[in-house]
Amino acid sequence: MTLLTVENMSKNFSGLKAVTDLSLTVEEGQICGLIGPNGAGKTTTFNLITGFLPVSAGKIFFDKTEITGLESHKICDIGLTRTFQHAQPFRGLSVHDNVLTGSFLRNKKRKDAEKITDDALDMVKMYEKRNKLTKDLTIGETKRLEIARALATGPKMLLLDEVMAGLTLVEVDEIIQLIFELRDSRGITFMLIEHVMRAVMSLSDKVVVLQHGVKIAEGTPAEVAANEKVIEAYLGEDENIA
Amino acid sequence: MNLTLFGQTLVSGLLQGGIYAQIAMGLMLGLGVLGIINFAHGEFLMIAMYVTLIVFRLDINPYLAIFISFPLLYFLGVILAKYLIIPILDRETMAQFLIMIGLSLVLMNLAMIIFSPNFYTVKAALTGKTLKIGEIIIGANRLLGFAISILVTGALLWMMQKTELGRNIRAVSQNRYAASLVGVNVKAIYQIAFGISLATLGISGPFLTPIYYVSPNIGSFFILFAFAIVIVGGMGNFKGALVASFLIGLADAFGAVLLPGSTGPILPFIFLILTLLFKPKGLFGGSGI
Amino acid sequence: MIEQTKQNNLIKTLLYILTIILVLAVLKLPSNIVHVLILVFFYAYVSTAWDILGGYAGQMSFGHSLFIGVGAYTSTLLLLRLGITPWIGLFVSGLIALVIGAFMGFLCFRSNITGFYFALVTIVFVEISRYLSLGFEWTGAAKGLYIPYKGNNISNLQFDSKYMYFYVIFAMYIGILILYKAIMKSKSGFYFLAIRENEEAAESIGINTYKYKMLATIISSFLVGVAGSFWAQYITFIDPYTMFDFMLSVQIIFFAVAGGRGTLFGPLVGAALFVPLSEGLRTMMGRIAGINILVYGIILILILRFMPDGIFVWVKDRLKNLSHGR
Repeated sequence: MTLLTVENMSKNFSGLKAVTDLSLTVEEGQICGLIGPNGAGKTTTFNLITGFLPVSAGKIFFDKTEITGLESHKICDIGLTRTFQHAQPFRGLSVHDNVLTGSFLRNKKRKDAEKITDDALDMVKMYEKRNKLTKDLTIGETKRLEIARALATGPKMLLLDEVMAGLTLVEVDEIIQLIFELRDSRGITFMLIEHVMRAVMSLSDKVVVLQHGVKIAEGTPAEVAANEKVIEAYLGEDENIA
Repeated sequence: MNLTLFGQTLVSGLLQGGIYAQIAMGLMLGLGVLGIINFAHGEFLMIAMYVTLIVFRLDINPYLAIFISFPLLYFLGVILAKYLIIPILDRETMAQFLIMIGLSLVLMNLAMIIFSPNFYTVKAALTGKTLKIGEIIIGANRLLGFAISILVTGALLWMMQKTELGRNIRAVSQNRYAASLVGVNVKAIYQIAFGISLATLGISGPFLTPIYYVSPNIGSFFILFAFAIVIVGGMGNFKGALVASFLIGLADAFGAVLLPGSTGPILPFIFLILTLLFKPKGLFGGSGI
Repeated sequence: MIEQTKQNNLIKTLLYILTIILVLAVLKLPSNIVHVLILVFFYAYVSTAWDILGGYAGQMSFGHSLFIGVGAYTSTLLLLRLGITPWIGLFVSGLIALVIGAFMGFLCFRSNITGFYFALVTIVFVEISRYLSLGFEWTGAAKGLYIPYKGNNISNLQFDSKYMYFYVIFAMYIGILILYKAIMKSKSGFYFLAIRENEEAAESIGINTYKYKMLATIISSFLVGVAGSFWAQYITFIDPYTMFDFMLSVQIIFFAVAGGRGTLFGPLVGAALFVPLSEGLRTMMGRIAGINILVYGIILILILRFMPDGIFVWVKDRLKNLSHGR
């Protein structure tokens, strides 16, 4: 079943085209990578899908419902949750309370919310650190906290914006394992913006490539890596696709 | 309301608006650059007015007070920016706001202690003289105050748009960090900008003094209108604020004529609420300098 | 762990006993001191109510005197013009304050007016209310309204001694503490905090930030409206200048911020320290107009400049440094 459908979506910033006529679909249970050189419009795409920015044109459907123009909190309520490129924890709150705030979405009672919180913290291996303040966390821990908070809202699909940026090799592997685990045990669908190519290539069932706000390629990691347009787009960038 | 009264009110509203504009512009310069609403902005106008009062009492032409009030307020601005405002820039808005309110209270009550709560008047060369256009009478003092205010506003806008200093100020207000990267001395710009913001009051103060009563509360009278202007104009939008100043001035003048008793001053504020209801982003939307 | 809980329970019990003794001791205190105590708890109550919106949900209202004024005028007008008992007036006051608060919130929050601009709008609301109450004979205009004394009668909410007023406001304060604590533990409380800390992140995890900002506003304005009625009954005279007063709004915030905002007892600490101070300044320096507020302003600047988290935290940090020593 198709979970997320984006139809001919465009975004202009006072004349500047950030995303042009983008269409894509993500199937339930899929892990979809969204890649492209810097400034390709990846984060803008996330912001458009999750209602943080209004679209200029086009339609978005999630779980058979049109979500174009819905407020962000409603989109989350339907089951589509995102994380941020620059982690945005609630700085004044402890790790536990950060996640608890997410748990309340589907649990009115404190007791039930606590259960979900512990479970989410356990999932990302942050349970031991639950009483820490967010300012005392490492980058990797902060990113895991963001995933736990998003997880606590009970999503059907998670949009992860560069969760692996700035992490050590070991931490990257842990996150890769975590994403597989969440997909397999909880059936969560993923779309990820990622610069760490090793991660994208090993995780994704499907990769969408953006350049200057336009989709230039789509396919399995192997197909995309062999695509000439993609190779060209990445030439001149420091990163190597393979 | 007959035609003469209408014309008279229209003219006095526009004159008042010009004066408000100049006060609001200075306020917005400080807000734009430092990101802090100077709650004590009105009290600095009050200082300029008391300086004018002292000069007047010494039997000197009150307009000459400009030679004291202008440098004095610029200097005060630089000092305050350096020792009070820059150190609190990364504090939360609530604390910043309270500190600025504290400053306003200190200045207002200092004036009350030194000069008593009494109202004083300053007579200038033009006091009592009027200009008659048809049946409409315009006080000469008011006209001069208006002219000076427009001049100050124009000069401020010109400086912001056309000079190197203005460009740097705008750069800092748009992105502190980026400005510092291209070699702008951000701290110096903060001080200069706040100095200029207050200095505008130093220029207009001596010319406004003959129009109003000088008292410790004169600052709070102006600041509320300035707040309304900032919001109606579209939060940080200079050109919007300019137009809003005249609208608020007109609302003020017509309120005094049309509304019963002492409820007149609420018309500008009702106008503000209507703006928020129908144009929530302000009449001209929010944007940078 | 268990030792510590035991110790905490002991401290708690001692505090309860101490409170009861203090509350009973009020009966033996001279009435001018009881007056200061009434002021302390009145401000502690109002500051706590402000803190739900300002400290917890992080929306800077600088116009909470609006709700005190609205509450005071509502119950007093109901009493004087329609003969309705202040006990009903108290409740109606809260409701009217709530409606006005909701309108203010609607104006600002639906278009994301926060921070300075929200503060400015709240200040403007106070101004409008003052001019309105000044403008009509029906509201007493500039002369204000006087509540005549009809004898010691609980059904009129009028007493011949200050002690009873103290117990009423003390009970109200305890009530708001319980409510505040309940909010802190609830879903709404966590949502308020999330909004204060980061609105974007709050939206991303499904929090309807508009709805919860409105909720904080109406809770806060209702509670302060009720306090306004109590205040009018206690001072028996209200006028536009003392009710819709910007300084009053500043005091309310200052107590919460100085004591420590977003904390249970912060407002009480702030009020307990600064109400006596400002009363003292007023009586000691009353002869020169303005000097008490001047000193007040200087203290306000110094505290906020050098104790960013309030006195409570500042003292705690100093003590910690002392014990960790050298």
